[in-house]
Amino acid sequence: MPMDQQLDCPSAPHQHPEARLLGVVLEEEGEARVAYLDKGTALPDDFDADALGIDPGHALRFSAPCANHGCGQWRDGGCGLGKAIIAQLAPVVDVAPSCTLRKTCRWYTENGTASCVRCPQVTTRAHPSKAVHVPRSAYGPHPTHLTPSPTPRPERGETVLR
Amino acid sequence: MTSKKKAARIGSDQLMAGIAAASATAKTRIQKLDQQDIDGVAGGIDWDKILGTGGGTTMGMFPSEPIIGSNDF
Repeated sequence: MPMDQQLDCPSAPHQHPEARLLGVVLEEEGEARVAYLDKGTALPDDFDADALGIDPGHALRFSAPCANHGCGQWRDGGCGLGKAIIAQLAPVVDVAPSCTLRKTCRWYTENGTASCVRCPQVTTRAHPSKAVHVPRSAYGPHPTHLTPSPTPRPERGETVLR
Repeated sequence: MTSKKKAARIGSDQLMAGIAAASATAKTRIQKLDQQDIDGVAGGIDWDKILGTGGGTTMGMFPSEPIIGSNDF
């Protein structure tokens, strides 16, 4: 894979201007489970996600181009959420879903099918009791107006305003 | 022989019915989890309501500098 390939986030907000429906969150034994869209299936042009009567992030999964370090889940040069899901959630299927995103999926690209077998239980908006905790790291995410000091020996790791 | 557990799929003929079912079951699921939370942490502060973040935390992309009280991307 070329290093500069644009990858996609498999759990994007529906408000993203390039959001595309990836799956629908159904239930299995009382637990949320994503049913992935067949190839060629898409929402009608007049679909209004805000009219569902619930935050669409609880009921639908969207993909969108990964924002990389512009995303709050970015950690140490990759997706911290993708890694946290593997660390904190158990697999819920035995084989990777044949989803339409695989080739460009950020989670799959970084973690392989370990992400895919956990992916069906992920809802973009999660009840606090079901949320995955993404640990902080020494590096990211980076506020865009702050940058590490370019001075060779900054005092106490100071940051400078751009 | 045991069959392998697979994720469900949904086609265009079932999509709108699936979305209707998904929003209905999501409401029930969240109400149930809210009730369990109230039972477990009576007296806790509901930060979602205070901050207006709309019921839940994110397991997805969000701006690295979120605007408090807004879900706008």
